[in-house]
Amino acid sequence: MEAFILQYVDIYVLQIMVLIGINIIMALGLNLITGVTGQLSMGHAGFMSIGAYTSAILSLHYGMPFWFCLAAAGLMAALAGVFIGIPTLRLEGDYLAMVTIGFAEIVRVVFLNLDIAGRGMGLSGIPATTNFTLVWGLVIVIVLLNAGLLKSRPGRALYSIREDEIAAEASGVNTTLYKVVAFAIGTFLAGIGGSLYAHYLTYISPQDFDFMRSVEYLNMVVLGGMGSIPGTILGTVILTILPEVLRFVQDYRLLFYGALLVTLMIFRPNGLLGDVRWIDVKRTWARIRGQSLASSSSDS
Amino acid sequence: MAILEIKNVSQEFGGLLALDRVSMTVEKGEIFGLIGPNGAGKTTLFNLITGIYRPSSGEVWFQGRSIGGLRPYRIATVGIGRTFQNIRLFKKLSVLDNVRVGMHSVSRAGFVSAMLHTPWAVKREKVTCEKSMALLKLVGLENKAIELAGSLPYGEQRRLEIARAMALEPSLLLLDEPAAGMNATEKEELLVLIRRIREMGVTVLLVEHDMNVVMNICDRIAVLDYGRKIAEGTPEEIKNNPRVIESYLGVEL
Amino acid sequence: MFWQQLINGLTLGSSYALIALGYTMVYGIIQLINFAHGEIYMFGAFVGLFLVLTFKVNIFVAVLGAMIFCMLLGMLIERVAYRPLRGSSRLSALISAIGVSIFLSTLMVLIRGPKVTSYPAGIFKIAYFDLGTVEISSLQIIILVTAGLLMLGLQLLIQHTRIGKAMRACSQDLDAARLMGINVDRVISFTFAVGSALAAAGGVMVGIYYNAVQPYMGLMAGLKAFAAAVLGGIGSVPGAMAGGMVLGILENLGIAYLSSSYKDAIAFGILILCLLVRPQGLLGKATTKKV
Ligand SMILES: Nc1ncnc2c1ncn2[C@@H]1O[C@H](COP(=O)(O)OP(=O)(O)O)[C@@H](O)[C@H]1O
Ligand SMILES: [Mg+2]
Repeated sequence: MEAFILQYVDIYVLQIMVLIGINIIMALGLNLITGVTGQLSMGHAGFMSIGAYTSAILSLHYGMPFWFCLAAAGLMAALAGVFIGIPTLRLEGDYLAMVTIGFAEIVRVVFLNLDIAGRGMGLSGIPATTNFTLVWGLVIVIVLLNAGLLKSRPGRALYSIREDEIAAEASGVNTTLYKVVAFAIGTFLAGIGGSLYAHYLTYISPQDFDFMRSVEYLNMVVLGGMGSIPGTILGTVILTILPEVLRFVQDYRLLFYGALLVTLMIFRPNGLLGDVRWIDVKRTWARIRGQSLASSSSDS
Repeated sequence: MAILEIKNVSQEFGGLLALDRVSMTVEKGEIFGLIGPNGAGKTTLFNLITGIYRPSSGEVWFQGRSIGGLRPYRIATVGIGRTFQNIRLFKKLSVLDNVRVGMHSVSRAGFVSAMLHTPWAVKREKVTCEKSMALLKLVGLENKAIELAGSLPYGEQRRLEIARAMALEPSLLLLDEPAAGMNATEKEELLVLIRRIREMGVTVLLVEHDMNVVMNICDRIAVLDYGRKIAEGTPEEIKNNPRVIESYLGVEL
Repeated sequence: MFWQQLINGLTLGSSYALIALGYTMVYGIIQLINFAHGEIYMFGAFVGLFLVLTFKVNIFVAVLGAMIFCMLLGMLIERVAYRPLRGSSRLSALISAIGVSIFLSTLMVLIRGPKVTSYPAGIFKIAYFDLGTVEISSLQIIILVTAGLLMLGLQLLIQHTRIGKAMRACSQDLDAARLMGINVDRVISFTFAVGSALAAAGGVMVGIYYNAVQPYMGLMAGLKAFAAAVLGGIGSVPGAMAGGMVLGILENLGIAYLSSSYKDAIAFGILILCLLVRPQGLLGKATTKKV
């Protein structure tokens, strides 16, 4: 399959496609936490690094098969998510943002000081198992599961927490439990993304997972549309390709990200597609069609 | 038979005694009115019954069991639905979804079956959807199912809140100033709706300022003033109670 | 050893306290974690450095200059990035605050480069006093006294002035304060100004104390000060002061007796522990949100 694709697609394009796929998995995880449930997590890269290192260490030092590493990466990240989610999410308020930043920083320092993680040098020679087919296969599965979730009872409960936590409780939603579960699924996806990333680049170091990477994932969710799957995918595609296209303004990228967040919040707090509903699109379309029909008939 | 018993509850907020040893009993099947001037503690009592506040002292019993200290979602699940004085809808969800969230505790599908779209979950979804539509019909919003809740006019938002609370299939419904901001016709419709709800076997505890509504519909009424219960009785008795007239009705009517 | 760490801890803690005050005051009034607060502290440190390098001013002038600059910066940020979002969801405001934070730290990287800048050697004459078991430097004394005076001034401001009274009213109940005729916008703006000025003072003093100023210094410092504010009880002014001191001391003891590579983990551990055991903090009261 991979060889077949390579016949037709430029290797550089393929590389970007794989990165887009990995970023979609990451961003969908964050979307579930922040976009859908309304709990701001600023340490997504930290959970990604837990997945990346778990997977790399298991395959390098223990010779575990890739699928095992992938699953372990997701589970370790989710475990960490539950560990900090329970004390934080049972409270109302924005503690999660600060706690996750702190957590991600600490995770980074731990890997910097851990012999088994290669300290500042990081780990290299990780088996290159990740490829286009695998990543996009997983993307499709994850999008389908995610869509199923959001359209049904637990998904609606998550949205209701974002909208009004007190009303959600009064409607019978165990908000603490749902917040923690959303956080666990989101961090699980970050772990999966981290594992795929490690086995794609074959080299990871603590610097790969700094605060700014968490910010990039937040931007993907916020730009595309909080809580919307197509929106998140759109945001991810834009923000993965844009830096490649705009390499010459590399230095200004973060400046742009910062300004983007403020501007979006003021003018379009739900992102490009966050509050666009299929039903409204169809209705508007019908109206436009109706008008043009009416005007053309009055012309004649 | 008593469905709700409030026993000697007090609620203090940093020195302010919002409720002072209040006791009252709501009988199954009645429409019980709770009136009193602004700041008397009516909403506080609702918050306390639904577990949003923890009473400083006293007990709340529902259907023969103490529900003091239960988390709000547990209290909702055992069968107490409520609306809020300052409307708290899920504004960016559709009208239908607001009601479907209300059905949360009635339906059971979990994360895994939802993700996998199992036939069982799909069937549950269908049932949820039908029941929610029936509730929208009850409050007259069946044509607004796909609108965003936040885009509805005020009166319809209040009715949507009632539908969402009814979705819990509660045995007790708490309504906090449901007629606030409604015009005369809407108030008439509301009276009809509340009576229908009672006919469905739901006990209603109602906070309302509009004396027409209260006197018209309530079987019994309790009056709060500065956190104390100063009177309780039938509408007739309340209307003629000198203390009530002095502290409340005299001003309002 | 212990007493020495206590003095070092108090010095560090007084700067955490200065930053924590800004978090707590803003949170007390508009329930927003002012994410960009750490960057204001960072800007303060750079402005102080700039004044010392360019105009060869002494510490006090540097602190004062940085305070004035950051006061304006804080008010500007509030005006541009937070006020338009006053009616929006808390999540929007918080994300906007993060945007400001990233913008400011990147801006400083573009201006000064990402490297650590130090004060030229010997620019401040530092005397050391030997008090038997402990040694205290003139710099530490200056920091402790300045921080103490600033906090005292803040207390006087809050307790005994008209605007202080208005601030207290707003933190009790913003809507009620507005109905009473208090100009809420002005009070919020003023709160940002005061909080930012205090953070700037902290920034200059920490920059001199550690002799290192760096565009990304705001993130960790902001996080620690936030932990201090939560530890003391977010929303409580005396709590922020106490929380900052306690955190500074614990961190120094931790470095001395445990390991220095994980020194940043100490503040974080305290934050988590505090959220678990006593989310209202040491001096905060458990309040019930009005529904
Ligand atoms: N969470 C709270 N914190 C502090 N004071 C409160 C809180 N909730 C209600 N109060 C106060 O309790 C009193 C009763 O309020 P409330 O129950 O809303 O009155 P009512 O609904 O009868 O108008 C008021 O003085 C109100 O300010
Ligand atoms: Mg009320």
